[in-house]
Amino acid sequence: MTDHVAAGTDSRKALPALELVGVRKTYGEVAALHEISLSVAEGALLFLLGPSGCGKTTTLRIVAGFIRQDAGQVRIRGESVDGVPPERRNLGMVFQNYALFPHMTVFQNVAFGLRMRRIPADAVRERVRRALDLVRLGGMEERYPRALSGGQQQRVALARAIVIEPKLLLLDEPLSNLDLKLREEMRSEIRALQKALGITTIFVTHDQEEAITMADEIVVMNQGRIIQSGAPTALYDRPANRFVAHFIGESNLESGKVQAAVGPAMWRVDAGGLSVLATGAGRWQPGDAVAVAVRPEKIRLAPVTPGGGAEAPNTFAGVVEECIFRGALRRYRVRLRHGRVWSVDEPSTSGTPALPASATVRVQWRPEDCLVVPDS
Amino acid sequence: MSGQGRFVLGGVNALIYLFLVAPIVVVVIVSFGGAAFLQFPPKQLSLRWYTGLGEYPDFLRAFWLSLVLAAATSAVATVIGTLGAFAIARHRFPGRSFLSAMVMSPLVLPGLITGIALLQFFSLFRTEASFWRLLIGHVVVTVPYVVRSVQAVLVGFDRSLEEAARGLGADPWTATRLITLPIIKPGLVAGAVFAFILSFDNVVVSIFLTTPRLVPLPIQIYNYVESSAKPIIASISTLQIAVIVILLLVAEKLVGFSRYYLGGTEP
Repeated sequence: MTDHVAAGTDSRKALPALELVGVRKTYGEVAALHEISLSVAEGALLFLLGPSGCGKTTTLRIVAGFIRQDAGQVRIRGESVDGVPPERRNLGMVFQNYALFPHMTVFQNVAFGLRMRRIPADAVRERVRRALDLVRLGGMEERYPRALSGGQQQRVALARAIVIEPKLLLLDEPLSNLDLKLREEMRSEIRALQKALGITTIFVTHDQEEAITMADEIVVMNQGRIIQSGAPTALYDRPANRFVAHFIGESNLESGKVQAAVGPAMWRVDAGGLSVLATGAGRWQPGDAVAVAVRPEKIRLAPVTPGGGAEAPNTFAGVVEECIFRGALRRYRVRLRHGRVWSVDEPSTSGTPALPASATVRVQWRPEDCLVVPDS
Repeated sequence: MSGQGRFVLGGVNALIYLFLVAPIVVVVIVSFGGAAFLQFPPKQLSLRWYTGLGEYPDFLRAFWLSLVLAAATSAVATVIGTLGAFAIARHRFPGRSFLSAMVMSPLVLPGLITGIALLQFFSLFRTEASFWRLLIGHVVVTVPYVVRSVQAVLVGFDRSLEEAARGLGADPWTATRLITLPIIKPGLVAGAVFAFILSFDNVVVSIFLTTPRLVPLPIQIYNYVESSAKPIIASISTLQIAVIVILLLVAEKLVGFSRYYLGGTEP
């Protein structure tokens, strides 16, 4: 046994902390998950991101062992956990409502998992103290959960999950019950804690901002399928389709048809009346239905200059409908020639006055900032 | 206008309370009378109907029988009722609504019918008249109350608490024992207290299942008042009331119904 473990140590490094292979789950007629496969590296902070009902929570609960998949396999550090009940998986979970035991003190809550492992009382006290210090709740041991604020309850739930030194930390929308300010604080705190402890973590959320600011890797899900996975910057810069372009960050999206290939990975697209140059790695034929996506911050506005020279590609006339002050940014809503209103962000540089409503402007963006994606 | 309405409402409330409590108060006062017959208000006060209880061994025996019967009924009905409530509240199984209706039926049917049915049932199987027959009869009529009160707390119980316990290493039974049961304790205690009280003063079921040697207190009192009006009735009834009051006080101490915090976390 000992030899086996020793021999396995090296190969374990390479093994993913968690693997899902073809995991499927249906409820009656409704498929909650269609054959999901994913792999999480040891120590990573992975986000399952998607709208409600996309299957992200089902996935998490299958990993935790609360739901049994209909097909496929879940492997933790290379070993299948199918048929292993939740209490023997050694995973730490934080629930959306925290699920603190109301009849137990903070100490008893955090100590619960250690008591279940029959750890001697001295060691329990020491480990609980360290866990509470990590979440900055030292001195709160004798309080009951109802006497704590939402943020403090959240920290207790976190301490209770990490004190057992779990193989994986599973977080189910842990921040959605907190107010905005606290949520932003907890984001960096959870990430710092996760990196300090090196616990492989699966974080479920519907909040794309949470995902892009915290994640090492994001798995975008919709209707029981994985749509795209990758680093936050990769998903932001190269969304795989219209859904991802819309869900992650903000995009001006226009359905259209491919007109012609004009260069390597460069296409001319008729986007609802705008003839645009756009980049995209897909293999399209003229006439294919696609969507073009442009991030608001990639667009530039300029006043119309009478008798200007040769126009750069993707330059269109527009009329400012409104300007929304957003602190560091100005968000313009501009009606373009084809009748639709696009969003354009500009830094609120001091000194330059905002363009007034009904001003006529030129709207311009570079072809490489304009993506052709499948229209789905 | 509203002040007047409030006054009228208050008056009606007071009358209702008076109507509910007055008979009990009268019995307690009468029990301290010195006369040889029931007298209200008593002309003189005395403890003779308490000190003289020993002269009525039938009553003492009946009192003990009822006490033991109620305690046993409460224990058995709480176990069965709690299991039933878990089954009905948590699982979808064939016959669930039938079971739910069956459990409810002693609540809806007059106790008299349940009593007759039990009598027929027992004679069908030719069982001997015994303490067990009484116990079974009482359990049948009290289980519904336990099921109801436990079901009520289970509905509000946040099951992610059990999942949290499972995730931390507790097997299903340990999670139930350490998390679920302590949290739903008010419902359990309420059910147990209900069962005790209902058994302790039950007449309609007991009357079909008693034997000359096994007479619960309510039946003993009932039989006695048919032929006599001695204040012993009042003193033994007062003891009966005392048992119930003590039980309620202990239950309140045990779970503190009034201040117990139910449920998971703050919204």
